[in-house]
Amino acid sequence: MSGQPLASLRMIIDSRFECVRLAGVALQAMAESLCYPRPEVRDMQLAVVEALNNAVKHAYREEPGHEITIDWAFSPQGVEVVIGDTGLTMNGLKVKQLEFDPDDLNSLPEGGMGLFLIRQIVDEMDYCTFKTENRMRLFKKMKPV
Amino acid sequence: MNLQEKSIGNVLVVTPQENRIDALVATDFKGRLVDLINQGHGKIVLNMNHVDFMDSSGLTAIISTFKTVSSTGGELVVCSLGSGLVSLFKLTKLDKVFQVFPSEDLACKALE
Repeated sequence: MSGQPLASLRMIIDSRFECVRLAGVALQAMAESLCYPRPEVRDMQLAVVEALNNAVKHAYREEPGHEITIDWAFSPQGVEVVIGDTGLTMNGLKVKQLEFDPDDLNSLPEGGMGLFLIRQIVDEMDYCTFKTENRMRLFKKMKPV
Repeated sequence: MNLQEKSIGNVLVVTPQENRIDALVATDFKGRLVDLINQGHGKIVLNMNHVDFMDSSGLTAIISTFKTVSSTGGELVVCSLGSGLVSLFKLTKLDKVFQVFPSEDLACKALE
């Protein structure tokens, strides 16, 4: 991310959905207080919540008691979020397309929409494993108004 | 999860009293909706007036309920979506699957 950050901070949450909710609400409050546009903040919140849900569900198999780190950086160019966990590693960032026939009930998706939504929302998305930590980085362009 | 239920003719209007439907409450939400179907309610309006945030877990709960009610010959429609939920339905193209109405009245009339 380029540009001088307006603010950056680290949040550490436990691997529980209650804490994912808390992080989503925190992002919204911080971004809105920094005057980013509400629709973009709302979408970014959804992307971050989906990424955190993935960490809870897939990295930690919904087992509480594990740390998830969230590094936020707010700049004039946009919002960057790096999510770190030390659970199971994802097999790359294979984003499945959401394909279904609206007239065929059986084809409607019941899961697997998280990465698709993240991909739709953010401008940059990458995932890597460094030593024992998995990191997902999300960046969305938006300008404070 | 707190749901308000009211019957208008043979239509059941279900209004979640939460502003977030996410992974924390999605399983309970789905269970409550399936209970209503099992009680014999076949025409359901889901009024999302109070919900300003929903993630894919919440969406999956609605899709699953939609499948269940449709497979038994019933109908489920949604109404009163805020801008965030409209965006979510469009992003996932589920606006082509669900009948979405701007108000509860219109949704009920469509099912009567």
